[in-house]
Amino acid sequence: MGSSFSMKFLPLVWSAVMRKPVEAILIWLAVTASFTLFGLMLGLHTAYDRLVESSRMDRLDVNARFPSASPTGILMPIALRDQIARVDGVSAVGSYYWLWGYYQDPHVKARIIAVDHGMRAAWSELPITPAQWDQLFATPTGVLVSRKSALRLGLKEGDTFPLITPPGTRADGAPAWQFHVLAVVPDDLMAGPYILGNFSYLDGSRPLGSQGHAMGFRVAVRDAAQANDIGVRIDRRFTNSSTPTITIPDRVNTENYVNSASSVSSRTWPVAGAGIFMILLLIANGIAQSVRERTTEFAVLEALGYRDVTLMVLVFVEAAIPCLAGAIVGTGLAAALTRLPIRHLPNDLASLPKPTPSWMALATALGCALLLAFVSAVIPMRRLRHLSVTDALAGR
Amino acid sequence: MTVQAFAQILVLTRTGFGGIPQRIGSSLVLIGSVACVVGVLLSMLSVTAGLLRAYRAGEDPNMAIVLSPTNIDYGGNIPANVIGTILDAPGIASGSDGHPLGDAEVVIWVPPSEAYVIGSPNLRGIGAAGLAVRPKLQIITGRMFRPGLAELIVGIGAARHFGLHVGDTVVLPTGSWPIVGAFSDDGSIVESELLGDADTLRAVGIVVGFSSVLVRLTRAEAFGTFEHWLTSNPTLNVNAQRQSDYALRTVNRAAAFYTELTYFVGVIMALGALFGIVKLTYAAASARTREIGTLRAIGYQPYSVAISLLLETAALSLAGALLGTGAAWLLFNGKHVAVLHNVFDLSISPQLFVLGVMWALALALLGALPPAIRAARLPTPEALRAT
Repeated sequence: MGSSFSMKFLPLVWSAVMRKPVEAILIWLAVTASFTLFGLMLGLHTAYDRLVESSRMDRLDVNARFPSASPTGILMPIALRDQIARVDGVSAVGSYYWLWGYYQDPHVKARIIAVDHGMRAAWSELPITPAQWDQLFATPTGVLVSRKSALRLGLKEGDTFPLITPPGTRADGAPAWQFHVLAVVPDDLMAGPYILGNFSYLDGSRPLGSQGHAMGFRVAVRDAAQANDIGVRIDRRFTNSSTPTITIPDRVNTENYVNSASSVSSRTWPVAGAGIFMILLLIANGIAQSVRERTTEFAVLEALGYRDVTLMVLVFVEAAIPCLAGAIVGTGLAAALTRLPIRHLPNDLASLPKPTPSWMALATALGCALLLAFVSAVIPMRRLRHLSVTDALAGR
Repeated sequence: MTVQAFAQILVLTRTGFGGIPQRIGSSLVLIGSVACVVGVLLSMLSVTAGLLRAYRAGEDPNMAIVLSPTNIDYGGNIPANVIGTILDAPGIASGSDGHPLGDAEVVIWVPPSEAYVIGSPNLRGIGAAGLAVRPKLQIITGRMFRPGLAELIVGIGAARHFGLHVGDTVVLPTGSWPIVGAFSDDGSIVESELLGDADTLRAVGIVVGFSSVLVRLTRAEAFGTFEHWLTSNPTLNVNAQRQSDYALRTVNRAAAFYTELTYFVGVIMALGALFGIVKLTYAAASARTREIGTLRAIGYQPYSVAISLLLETAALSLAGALLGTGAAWLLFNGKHVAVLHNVFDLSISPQLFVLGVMWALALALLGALPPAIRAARLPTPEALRAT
């Protein structure tokens, strides 16, 4: 076998594949389309898995339990932070406040997540260096902008970044906040594109009545296995307060999102499977037809002394060529499709986690293609084993 | 088309169908491919169809809903002091007690238990006319909540999905409210919710205004006047919609993302199937080249040949659509699912079946057209020489 095999048999297999070129190309196109879908579904599945994996069980999010019943709505007094920090098992607490506004053009919305010192530990997974954290808390108007945000807004280190907010957001009545880009930092899978600001500066600039409030608290716990219990403990502590809380681990939140985002993730496998099944039918039919129509040719080969095994390998390779070619091109196409800029996607599709193409996906597709070729070739191969050379040559 | 041409097509189609047993393999492949496309498409769309069915359960053309400008039945954006004005609008039917058949309601999301694990349902506060505007609502176990008391009843969908049962409690600002009964409502979306007394809920401060006012009109045609009266009243800032329109809009908005994804997937799969169909029809036509040549030689028209090929492919494709719909129906129809706060049954509706058939026919037409044209154009002598 090996190279001598390919030298000797490749022309034979190739002429078999291209016996009817139009049909061969159509089959290959069908296989390619199916593997494109397969690649996309696999990529989507990987994307969801990664999202769940990277969301942590040892990080909790504390929010107002009954925002509609509270005079401050979703805002909670900052004093809760120290009380949460005293709950058994809690290792760090950070406060956050989202400031929404637009940059230059009312359609270019931007959100600043204002954070306090506690976030250094409570959000330690963010790809931010200790020096950058220091710089953020030392510069009231400083912001750290993640790469994707910087790209979208056209910002770079050292830029002034005026953010226009609705009237009444600032105590001094000014329409804009003058922020300064301290550094462009890496993106984070969980946080998405983000901009971090300085909590104490933002809080101090808001109207007196709304100062001293956070939209939520991020909590780090020492033992992830205790996360749910600690969440319950936090909520119990504030049950009878003026701001009851609801505490949810990040992981649970993400799982809920993934499971209920119209249950997309649960449908990736059946769809991919149906696509593969469809081309299995097509390939199996094509190869069976090819072998049937070339019975005489196989009989000649056998009469010339080719062994059964060799003939079977020939049939298998003939089935495998369109499958493998389709798998490679289809996976490539899927990967290319995931690189489509978001703006070319329908609005709602853009909210999906991006399918993540990977070598693993290509390997899975190739494995599937080989399996497909094998299953398709089994019946024709059995037919060849029982081929009676004399009958076939006699045209019986 | 002449009678003769029609007869020719009939003969050709009959011989075409007669030849299917000899090409059973490729015919089954065509059926299978179309079944895969239609099956995937319909099983994904069954989510949207199911949600729509739940929103439209017990649909009554006389029902209308009044909402704040957000057009969402949630929160407390309609001030309490305008409810009386809204119920004064012309066209609202009167109940047996002489009061207008309109119910001001509140909807809020409530974390039901201490540990948030599988999400939680919406809680709807209904008023005195709440049952009168929902005639299908029935208590299945336990009893109805008593107005003025901190009690709730749970819909069977919410009970099933969120694990809330009679005897459980729900934490609200003033403490734990017991669930005293479970209800059904003809499969409507309200079955995904907890129900309580709107005034009691508002009294504990959970929400300030109202989310919506559900009204029964004297007749469907009264909607125009009703809507105009509400929207032209300067003291009101509300929108009115027929309940059926509201259902359609809400579902389309909620499922827009999902529908786009489904069509995206459907188109890619259909492309794969399309190439397959072209290949199969092409093979079927070339297997019959001599037969076609013979018929042409004795005076059959080229387009008769093309049309009979199209008809044959369409028939096989239709069989595929039936198979795909059947499989999707068996696997998914009536299956319970939950999307966010909504618990409902998947549905392979008649509309979906029609959609599947249309896709199958479109695939057949597009797939069979190139081979059909080729067969029709083939010069007779060449066709007769084919092996």
